[in-house]
Amino acid sequence: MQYADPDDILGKAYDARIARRLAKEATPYRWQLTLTVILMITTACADLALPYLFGVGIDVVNPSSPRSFLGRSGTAALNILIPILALSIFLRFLSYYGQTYFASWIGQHIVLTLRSKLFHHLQRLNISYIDQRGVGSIMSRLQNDVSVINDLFSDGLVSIVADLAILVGIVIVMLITNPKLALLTFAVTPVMAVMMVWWRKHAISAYRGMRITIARVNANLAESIAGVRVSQAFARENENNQQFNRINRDNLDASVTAAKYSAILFPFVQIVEAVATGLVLFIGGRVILGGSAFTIGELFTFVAYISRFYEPVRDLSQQYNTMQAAMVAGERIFALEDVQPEIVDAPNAIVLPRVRGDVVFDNVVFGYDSTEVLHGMNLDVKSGQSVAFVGETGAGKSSMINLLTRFYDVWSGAIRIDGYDIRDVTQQSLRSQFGIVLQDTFLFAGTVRENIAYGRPDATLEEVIEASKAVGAHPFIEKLIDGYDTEVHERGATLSVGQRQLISFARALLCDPRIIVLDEATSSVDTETEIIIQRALNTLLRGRTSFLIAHRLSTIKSVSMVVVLDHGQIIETGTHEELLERRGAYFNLYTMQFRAQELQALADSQRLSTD
Amino acid sequence: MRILLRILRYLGPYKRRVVLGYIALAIGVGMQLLTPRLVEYVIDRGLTRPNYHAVTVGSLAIVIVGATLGIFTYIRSYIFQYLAERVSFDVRNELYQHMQRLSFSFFDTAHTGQLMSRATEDVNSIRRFLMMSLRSIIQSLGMLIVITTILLLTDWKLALISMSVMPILIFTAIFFGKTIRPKFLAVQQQFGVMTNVMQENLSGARVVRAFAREEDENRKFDRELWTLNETYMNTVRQYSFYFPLMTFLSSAGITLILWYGGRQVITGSLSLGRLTAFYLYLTMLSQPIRMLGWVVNSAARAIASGERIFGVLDTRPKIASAKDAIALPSINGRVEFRDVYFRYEETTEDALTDISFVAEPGMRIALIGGTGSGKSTITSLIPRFYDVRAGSITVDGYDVRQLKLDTLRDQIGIVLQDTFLFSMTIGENIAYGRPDATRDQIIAAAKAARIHDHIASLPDGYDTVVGERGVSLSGGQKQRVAIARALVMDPKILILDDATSSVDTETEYEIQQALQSAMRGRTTLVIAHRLLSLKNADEILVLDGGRIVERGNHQSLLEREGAYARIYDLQLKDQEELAAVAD
Repeated sequence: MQYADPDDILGKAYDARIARRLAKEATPYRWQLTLTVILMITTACADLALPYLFGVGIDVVNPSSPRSFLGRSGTAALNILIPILALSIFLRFLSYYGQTYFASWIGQHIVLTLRSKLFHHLQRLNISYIDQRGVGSIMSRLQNDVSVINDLFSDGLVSIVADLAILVGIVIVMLITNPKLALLTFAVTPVMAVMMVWWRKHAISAYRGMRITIARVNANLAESIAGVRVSQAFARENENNQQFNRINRDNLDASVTAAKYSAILFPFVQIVEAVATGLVLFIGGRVILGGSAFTIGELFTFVAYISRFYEPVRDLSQQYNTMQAAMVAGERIFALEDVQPEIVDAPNAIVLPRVRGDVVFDNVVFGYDSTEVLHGMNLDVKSGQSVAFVGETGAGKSSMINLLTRFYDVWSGAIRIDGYDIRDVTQQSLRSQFGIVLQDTFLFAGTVRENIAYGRPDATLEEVIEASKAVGAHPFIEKLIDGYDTEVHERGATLSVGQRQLISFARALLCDPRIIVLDEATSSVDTETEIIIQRALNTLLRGRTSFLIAHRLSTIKSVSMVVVLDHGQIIETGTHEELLERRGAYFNLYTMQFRAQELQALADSQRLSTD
Repeated sequence: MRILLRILRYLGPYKRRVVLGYIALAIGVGMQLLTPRLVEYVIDRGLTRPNYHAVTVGSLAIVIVGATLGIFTYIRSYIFQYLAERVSFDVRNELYQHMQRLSFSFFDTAHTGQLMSRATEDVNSIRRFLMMSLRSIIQSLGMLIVITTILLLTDWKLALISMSVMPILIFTAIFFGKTIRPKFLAVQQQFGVMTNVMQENLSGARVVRAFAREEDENRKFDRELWTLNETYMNTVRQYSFYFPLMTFLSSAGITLILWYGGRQVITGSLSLGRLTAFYLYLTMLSQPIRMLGWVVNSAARAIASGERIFGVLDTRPKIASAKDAIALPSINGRVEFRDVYFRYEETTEDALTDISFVAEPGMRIALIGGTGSGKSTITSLIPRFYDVRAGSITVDGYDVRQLKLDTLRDQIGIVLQDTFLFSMTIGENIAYGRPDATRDQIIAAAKAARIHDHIASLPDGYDTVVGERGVSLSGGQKQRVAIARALVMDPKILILDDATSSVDTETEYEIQQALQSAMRGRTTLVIAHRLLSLKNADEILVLDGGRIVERGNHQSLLEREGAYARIYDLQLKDQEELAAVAD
């Protein structure tokens, strides 16, 4: 508690718009919420009853001026008082239990619904959104921000209501018992408030310093671990140690400064409490001795209440942070929820029947943000033809593929498959006609079999094996420890690059797609695998319309049409041989580097001869 | 316990502060214990027997005692926080320095994420333990003992009755501390599972969309969410019962006081003030007892964290300079492998078998072969990232194992395929191995690596920060910065991997030039993917399964029509064909 973090984000602790939406999340649980609030008030009442009843007890047994309780006095009064006391503490046990349980239950269910809703929403959003925002940042919405909302419902709101109930209860009881003494007690409150304001101001900046420095420590750590091989290769250990020590020390200094502030809050409350207690005893004692109606038991209740009074006051200032954090988190969550998927099925979208595979790019214009990258593309591909896109980075190869699979929508023009505009059919029916093999062969955690059957979870083992055999993946899969049931870990780390490619080929083949879209991987693999991959590629492309971003010459040579892109325009089409003969852009593109190499070799040999 | 002691040993250098902290704690506790007595004094001396003076004295004393308590609470609170921060600082430093010395084989098996969590989460749980628990345990036990004694001495019958609930309280607290932990761990673990599903889904979003599997992903995620919900509610069921139970038990003690003590007051055998004091003492106890459960929990965490941290600290670096290691003088650059056998840890097969070759000063050796053939392994043995199993590697006649590591590595320049740059300025990155390099030296290296023009065109030139928080460089640019980084050391021996992922033709040309200029005048070992590197090599070593299967120059190997010729046909001919067309 002493180390509580008083907020990093300065924001409003209450934002009506966000609060309303948060409240909407809680509406399904309004009965549970009402019950929780009732339980909280019960707990608060029972909580206050204890010092009060004990005070009554003191008066009942006070030998100098005994009082009666419910018309009885002495032991008889005690005999009624004790069961009432026992009953109230038992009642408090039940209501306290219920309130904690239900508050957590509500918090957890709101969190569950929120996470689920956000996740489902993400599945409908465009790839571009995930690309732009980054996986880490989106994850933090569902992890951290949602957790903050949980804190609000299962802890924050509970504390606020409970604290307020107790405060109000104490004030009422005190005012009824002895208004003058009550006001005297409350007189210390402004001092407390001023102190809290002062503390918040300083503590916030001290804690911020601590957070900033620890972030630097962690960043340096992460980088040092990731780059440790480079450090050792360059024998940089000593410099690194010094550097880390410096950053680490900054954090130590900042933390010690923060400690100075965080250590002061609790002692301050202790002193305020002591002053208030002393004052009440002094004045109250005099009142009693002056012979008024005030009793020792009532004085006792006052003293006992004082120690209960400052706790909620202190707590409430902590809850301010919870509220503030929840508003910020809520804002982020709702911002994500409000992102509309750009690509949605048209209201009258039809299910695309199994296609032959005629693909037409009709004057397609497209760009990212406001920058146009494709300027009027026209391309007519007949069923069964294979097309390789070549060109420099940024020429528009990936864009062509992203549009065809409708990961993005064209700005103008249209893409038609068998005459259907792809915007007029459901995405589900469109994509199920495609076999898509991406450069980064992403495998999911799960078995090899599950990964191959990813697009057709109902595929039998025989079908999976058949697909694997067709692409030449069967032999190595069989040799894995558990064969097709071998677990694939962390982005397929236990498999080699080549093996992962073959699995992703099998994954595409199993769906028996009409159109293949393939972004050829560039990573070098060993000779044997290379041969297998080339064969697999041929199997995959046979009889299907295919679009390739090709990097291997052998692949380029095997396609029926090479399309050369430059700055978002098609500048040449034809087969590999035709294009080479033409001695145009394609020729330049693919010979420049080797000419450069030859020139260099020439220069080197001259250098050697002159040396 | 052993681990706990080892954690506490970190407090050794700060003994005086620890003692001071405990003294402040003791004084604070003493003050706290005085208060009920003072209230008793006011009631018995001032109120039941009217005496204005006693009321004044008692009230004033309460204020003074409270103020003193406040001051000492501040002191001990500050000291324990200071100690916790100080120890975290020390542990982090030690971990960092240790990790810098650990050898490559350690990092081959350890995950970055795990090591990070050693230095962050685990250090943090020790910090928390030192800050709160170290004080709480002494405070709780101390208060428990002192209050029990005071109560027993005051009125042993009333004491026994009112404290009859204590054993149950303590037992419940410790039981809770122990049993809640596995449940919290289960929550953490399930949270991890949920996170993984989410991360995979987002990282593989294209695949999910491509195979139209969104609905299944939704179902999978929801399933994990419900499991998380259940695991969490499991802890809720326990703690929502525990806290009310603790309050209930301590209130039960108070009821007993009134029940028994009240009667005694009526009969006159107990004073009213004393009854009140009992009440106050008992409420005072409930807080430290509640803390006990928390302390048990946090100590268990600290021990688990300590175990993990010490696990790293106790790993001895496999590769370290020998005690009598000599400093490598300035070399000519002759490298010799003699009958080298090597095996990676935790594997049963040799990664290198019977490797022998000599690279005379200035020679270019090209290594070629498939993945796992041993190319990179050979290059990582020269700077002694690993030790050979048999045979020897010598540099200018010195066995690398006799040398001081830094003097060896200082004279070797390395350009790896994965070019890791640090998030500092480009200038600092280039000067990484030679922090005292002058700007002129840095620029000269950058020029030789054909990256100077690009750096000069950046807004802050050599002071541009790269990496996550700065300007991002393309793969080809990074590679050239890495080449410059190696060149600034002016190494006699250069190790490089000439692979580049797809880059534009112009970059390709620049990289070629950079590579060629880097090799000039140095003994070079190049892991070759490019025809040019192979054609220019004085000797090509063809590797397969950790053995040298062929050696010779490009022409002679082609003529042999063996393994090299096969690789050439499959992977290099493309390059040759196009080169031919270009002519």
